[in-house]
Amino acid sequence: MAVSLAEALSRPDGMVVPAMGSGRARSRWMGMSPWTVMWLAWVAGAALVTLAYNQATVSSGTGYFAVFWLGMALGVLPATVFVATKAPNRLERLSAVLGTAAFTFLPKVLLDPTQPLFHDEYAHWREVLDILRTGKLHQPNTIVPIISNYPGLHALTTVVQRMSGLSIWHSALLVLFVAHCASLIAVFLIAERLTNDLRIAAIAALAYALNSSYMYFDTQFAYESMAILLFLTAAYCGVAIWRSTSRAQVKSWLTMGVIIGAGCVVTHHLSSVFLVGLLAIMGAFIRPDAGADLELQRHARRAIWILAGVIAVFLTLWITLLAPFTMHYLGDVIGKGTSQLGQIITGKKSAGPGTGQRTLFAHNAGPIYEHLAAFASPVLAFGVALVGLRLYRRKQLFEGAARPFIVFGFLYFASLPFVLVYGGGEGAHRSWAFSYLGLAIVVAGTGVWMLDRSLAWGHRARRALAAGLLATFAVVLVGNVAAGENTDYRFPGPYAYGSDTRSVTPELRAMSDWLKKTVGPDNLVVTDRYTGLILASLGGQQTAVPSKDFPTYDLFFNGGGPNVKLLGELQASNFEYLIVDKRTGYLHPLLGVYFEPDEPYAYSTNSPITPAKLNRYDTLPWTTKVFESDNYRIYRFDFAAYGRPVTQVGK
Amino acid sequence: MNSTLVRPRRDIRPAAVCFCAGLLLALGSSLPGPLRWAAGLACLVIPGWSLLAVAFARHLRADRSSSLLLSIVLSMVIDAFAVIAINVVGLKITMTSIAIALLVFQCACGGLLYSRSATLDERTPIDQASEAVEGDGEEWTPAVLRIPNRRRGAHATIDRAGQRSASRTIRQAIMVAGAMAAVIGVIAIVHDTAPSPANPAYAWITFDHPASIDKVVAVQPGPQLVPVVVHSHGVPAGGPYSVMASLDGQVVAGPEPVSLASGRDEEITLAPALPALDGCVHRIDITLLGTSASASRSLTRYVTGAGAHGCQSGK
Repeated sequence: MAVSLAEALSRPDGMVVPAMGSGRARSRWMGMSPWTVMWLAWVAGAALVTLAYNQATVSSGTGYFAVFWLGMALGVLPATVFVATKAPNRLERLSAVLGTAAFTFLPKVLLDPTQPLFHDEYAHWREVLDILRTGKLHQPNTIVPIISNYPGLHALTTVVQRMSGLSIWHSALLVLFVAHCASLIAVFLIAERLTNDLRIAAIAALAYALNSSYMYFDTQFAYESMAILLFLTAAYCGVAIWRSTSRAQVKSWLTMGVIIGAGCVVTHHLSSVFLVGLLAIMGAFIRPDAGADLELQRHARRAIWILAGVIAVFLTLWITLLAPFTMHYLGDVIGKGTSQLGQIITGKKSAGPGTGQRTLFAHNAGPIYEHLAAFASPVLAFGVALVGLRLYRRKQLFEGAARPFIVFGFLYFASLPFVLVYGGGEGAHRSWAFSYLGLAIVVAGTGVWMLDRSLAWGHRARRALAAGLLATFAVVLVGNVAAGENTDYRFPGPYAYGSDTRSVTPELRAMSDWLKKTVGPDNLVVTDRYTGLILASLGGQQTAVPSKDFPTYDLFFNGGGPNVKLLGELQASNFEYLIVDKRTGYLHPLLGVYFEPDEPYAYSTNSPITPAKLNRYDTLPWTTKVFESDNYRIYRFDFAAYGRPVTQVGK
Repeated sequence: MNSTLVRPRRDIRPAAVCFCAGLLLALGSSLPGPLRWAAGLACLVIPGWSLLAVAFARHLRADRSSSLLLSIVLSMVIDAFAVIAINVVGLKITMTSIAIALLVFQCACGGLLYSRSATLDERTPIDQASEAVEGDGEEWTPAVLRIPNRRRGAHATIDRAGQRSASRTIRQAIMVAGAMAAVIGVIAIVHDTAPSPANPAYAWITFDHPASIDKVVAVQPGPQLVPVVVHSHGVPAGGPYSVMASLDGQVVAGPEPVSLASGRDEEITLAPALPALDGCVHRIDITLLGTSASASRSLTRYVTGAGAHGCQSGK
């Protein structure tokens, strides 16, 4: 007997029929076992996602988005329906969650199965390469300098690479895959311990998978991808402390939480800050459950505070002694975002390029329904979360243990205004992977409560509710992913200037290989962001890190005489090559920046670089052109020749 | 209190399993192909498993999914801290040092398990009973370390239910493997049938030894040998191509026709005849000349007169 997904969901008991030869009741979907349906859906979904990527490489339209989302829907929705019914046991729910986690790993891994692709991936890949090469941690990194102070991921990847003999990239993929799948299991266990409800636990895990970062950002080879698992597991330890039935258990969970928290500190700064924040919220907001041993729960609350305190102290020590730049790094993001948001709220006009209001989806080539879904997702989530909050206050849903997670989940909505400003957009996006933990639990609890309540309704109303919830799930899936990454980070495609993922061409790689082969690695090089990514990673060179104090971008932006102080610094630091992408002179970067977000003219619509500004290096005696291809020129610095007059053409 | 002490007897087996796991990790790196990959994967489970058994098994009781998750996460942390520890003591991070560090960790865990096996036996029946009610899950000793204790009469007998369970697990594992193979196979088939856009052709020109071309060079009048390399990938538009040299804008060598062949380096040596130069800096341009300016690529070399001093005004 055929059953639609919505119908299956509208019958929380599933379509229960006795299985042949066994007394156990089993549900049937379309005459097949749910597992057969889910496996077929995963196979078909994987094929469609691959097909969408194929189309994206050659298509100029947006049809491949629909193919992609159809594939994703097949991969995610049947499992969601399955875990929302009452029939599956714990192992089956966990397996469905695990299968969905593995499926959601596909889109990213299909993008770059053989080498790094995202901006930060190049940095971390190079860091591991340098550790393997030198045998020492904390290697200076020119792409993302701060990562050398947080060696957790690099150390782990080094172990896996050395022990397995796989390439760095495949070792990284193994670590990422394990972390990606384990994250959902951690969410499942947290929700299970909080609610004692397997359905809520499984739906919470899948709802967490809808957060903007889960499918792409947190599957990239970067420190937060590992740290998010440590964050979730340490949070699980916090919940387990609260649910302990003896002081000895509290002590054991506390010890485990400290170990995992310490691992988080050495891996990623922001995750550690959020971990301390969540544990502090737990310590402050958690309430004893009815009938609980109050003395034991007082002890458990103390333990949660101790856990938060120990991790906070360790983080402070780590930052103070080993990573002092972190304060500047994080402070800059938070301070800038807050001040720019303040300017918008108070109506003050922002001054200067790179500051002020951001146009959402300005450079996003996605279809309109993705944009609409992105705007609808927070609204839908807010609606469901409000219902959950109301139910909690009426004591109809959740116990006191879930209270801190409700508070933590609502931080997601508090972060939303920050996406409107350049300074806060990235920080807000990154916070969602954390706050979605709380939101997922609230939303899952509310969804299950609604489904259970609907049992008293008529068949049609039940089906409508189930279909509505499923549709909401699908809209949030589309919207959050669309809001999380630009299309050039999500799909392969033709060359695009100023995109981290689409600026890599065979010509760039050949130029980088030529330089490495001809003059060796570790030469100091000045170049733009997109050329630098390949040069500093696969090319093995050390690229300049431009800043206000070391404005190497002036070599491109300024048309007049060079900045003598800058030349002096370049000479003193032994910079050897200037590498120019000719397209820098006439194309505007897709990301809005040529070098880094703090550069002058960042996000400006005017192009500050002209072909003439770049061509002048052909005639300056201190820059000797030693290589030119269709799009790239390599100049060798000879600072001693600076100021020497050159005979003009025709003289 | 009427407590009956069980005579302490140490059980070596859990410790031996822990040690063997460490040895497997240590030696795994010298195994061939897939076995070595398995050793890499084991690094993400075994150290955490051992720590769980040593430090937490006594008080924490939970299900397999929790213990698997915690084993993985603790393994990640232990692996990372092992490398940090190697770095802190000043050793180089190599395969050997990592293998030794993990082996030491496993040995430490094994030692603690061995000493704890006696401690556990010294517990009174009341202690054991009270600990038994602490948790509502199964005992949280990782399965690999949970060895039937014959001394307590728990003989290792496999009943029919166990056999059925084992065969079901094997059947499920085969089904999962088959389904995963289907997913991977479908991806491979769809991927292989993808239309792949042709990569654009490009060409470059460079000096044969660019590292030496970094100074304004003093030259004597007469022919100068300038070896250059032209390389192309595909055949870029804008041909036919030739190579020539010019001094201060005046052609001094070539143009010599050059045929571009995909993937091959074409070595050409130009011999521009230079006049006597003064002390000013003069520029030699070596150009891979196409049919249009945009199709051309060039190199520069700066020269000055040998032995000449000073640059005449007006130059």
